[in-house]
Amino acid sequence: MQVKGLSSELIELRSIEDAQLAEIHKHHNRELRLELSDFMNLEFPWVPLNQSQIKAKLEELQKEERTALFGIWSRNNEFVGLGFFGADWDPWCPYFNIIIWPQCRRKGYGTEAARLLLEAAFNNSIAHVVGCSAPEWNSVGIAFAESLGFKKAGASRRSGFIDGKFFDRFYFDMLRDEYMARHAKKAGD
Amino acid sequence: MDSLSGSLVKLRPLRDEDFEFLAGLRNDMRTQGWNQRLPPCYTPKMVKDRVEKNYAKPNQGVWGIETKDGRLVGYINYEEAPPRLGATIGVITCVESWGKGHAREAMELILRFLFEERGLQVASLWTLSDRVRMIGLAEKLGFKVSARLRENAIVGGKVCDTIVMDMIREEYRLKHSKMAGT
Repeated sequence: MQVKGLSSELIELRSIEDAQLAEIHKHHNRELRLELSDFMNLEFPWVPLNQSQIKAKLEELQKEERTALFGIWSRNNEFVGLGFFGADWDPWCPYFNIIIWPQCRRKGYGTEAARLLLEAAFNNSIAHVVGCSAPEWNSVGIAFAESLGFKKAGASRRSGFIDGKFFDRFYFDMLRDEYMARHAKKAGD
Repeated sequence: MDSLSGSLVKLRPLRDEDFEFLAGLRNDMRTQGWNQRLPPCYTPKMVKDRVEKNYAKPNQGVWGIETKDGRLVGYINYEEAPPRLGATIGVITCVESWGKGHAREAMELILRFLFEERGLQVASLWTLSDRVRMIGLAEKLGFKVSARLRENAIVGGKVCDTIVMDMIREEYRLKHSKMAGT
């Protein structure tokens, strides 16, 4: 049996190479400073990083076993965003993160990347529940998680401090049964 | 502030002779703590190595919980993330110590340390939905359930939820009025 790769008619998930660093660096130093800093677990989101610093942070993300960092490409070969999948803590309950560059949003790339990751988690691993999280200030990320069918599991209060105030981090999860039901419903549409 | 000492227990640094006891806690399914289930085959050396690796930084700590008559009954730890803003606490006591107030006092001592000495804004802990004793203890201390991560652990053949509980600084102040005005 041939296991399907992570690609679809809309996007393809590929490894990040040095050639992508300039694009990531550009976004981190412009409109996506906060979101990319959160993606890379930076403690000082206000610090502008150079490409080698970004490379080091991205490599750090993948140090743990069972973690995967990748780029998201459109079918016309445009690098449109980043994704991360982690089963380092427990493959029973992996988690993921997706970020799409602003000019590439509202084209279905993020939703499609999430669909591929959920399919990989539930069809090609033993994941029972998949989680994701977003800081309170990331309204785009929160709306995205809910649009995918994730349910809000709660929050860690005061998980950080930005613009002079504390913010919470919201958690979301999706059970295998919920994924299967949603998947079956979509297949029957 | 006094050292981390109360009327029932004191928190003290771990010693080489403690690690056999701690390996026993780690290998007892009832006291493994919040975790994915781990094989109960830890050795004292493995515990020591882990402690030395994980608690070398100034924004994290681990202590043995010792009763006033000098018996080690468990350990308690914290890790700040982000440093000086919030910390996650872990506590494990041996089964013989349950119901005697040891864990409660150890938690009170570490909360006082975190809020009054470290000046943190929030303390949190992660436990499992079937750990009703831990959840009850945390609620008595002023923690509130802030998240329930569904079905992400298996304990005793049953799938259960992870419960995230936290307490912010103002809630700690209200619960522990002597801190008011600081």
